[in-house]
Amino acid sequence: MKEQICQVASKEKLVAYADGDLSPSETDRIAEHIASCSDCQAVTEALERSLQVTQTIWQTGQAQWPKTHPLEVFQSSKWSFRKVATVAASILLVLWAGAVWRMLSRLTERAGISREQALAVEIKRKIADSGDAARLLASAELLSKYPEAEKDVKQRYQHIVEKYPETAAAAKARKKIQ
Amino acid sequence: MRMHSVFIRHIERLRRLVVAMGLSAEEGKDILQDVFVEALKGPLKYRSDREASQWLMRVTANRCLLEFRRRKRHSRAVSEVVKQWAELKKHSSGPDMQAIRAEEVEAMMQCLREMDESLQVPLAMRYFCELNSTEIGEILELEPGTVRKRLYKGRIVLADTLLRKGIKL
Repeated sequence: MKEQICQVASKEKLVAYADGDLSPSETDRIAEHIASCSDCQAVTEALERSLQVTQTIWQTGQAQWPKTHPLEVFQSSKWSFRKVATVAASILLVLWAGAVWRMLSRLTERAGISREQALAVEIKRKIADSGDAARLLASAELLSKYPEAEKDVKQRYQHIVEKYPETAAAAKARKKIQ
Repeated sequence: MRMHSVFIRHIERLRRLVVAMGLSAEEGKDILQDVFVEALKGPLKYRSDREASQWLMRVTANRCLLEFRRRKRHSRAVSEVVKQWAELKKHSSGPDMQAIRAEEVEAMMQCLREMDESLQVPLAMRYFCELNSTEIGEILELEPGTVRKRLYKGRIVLADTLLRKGIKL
């Protein structure tokens, strides 16, 4: 509800005038009216003066603040800079711990995949070794039927024992050598 | 968004808000420290400097209101304000202002003590922190039109105090 002062202006209109919120034509109209209306004149002066005094009260409070570096607000009794730094450090520590935990989780995850992959590679290698050793053993046994190849056959058995010691072929080759 | 750098950039405005709510420098320091710690806790929430500074103003205003409700300040010594005004006047290059009088200061302080906080906060933000209605609306989560209405109402309350007391202007 607008509070009319006279037939022309309300208090709200005069605040808008004092704050420069009116259009140029409206400003001229109100200014002309104020010059001839004592009630509106009084309200306009009171609006300006009350704001001036209020701003002075605020400025007085502002002047009580020492002109210091912004972070010197932390030098009052309640919170020393050390306390604030401790809180900040705690927050950073929690964030850091979180980041480390996430990183470790990822590494563990990655390590898990590597172990599986390494196991698969190891199994494949053992199968390949068993195959190679078995083929070499078979060829050595075929050659053993020929007396002139005796030296070559022994070398093959020896090779199987040395290169594929964990295979079934190596166990058989060892017996042949003995 | 590095919240502490936003805090430092806007600390002058935050101080003004604290002062305009009638709190002392000591109380203001405590409030700003709390706000700073809050800012450190939630630094990733706001992407732009504007959003971050609005958040700081909002949190500071709320903290000031809590303190204000407890203490109902604006109780500086009137003589101190008058004296301070003379000091400020000496160093001011602004337009000439009629000498401030104790009865005016007393009346305005009482008015500020009794004023509804929904009017006081926008007044402080507009006429001391130099924010416009849109910015105030964003901080207080109000429509700009609502902010303007509150500003007008606050100005009228201040002016009526002088008129009602029959203080000669």
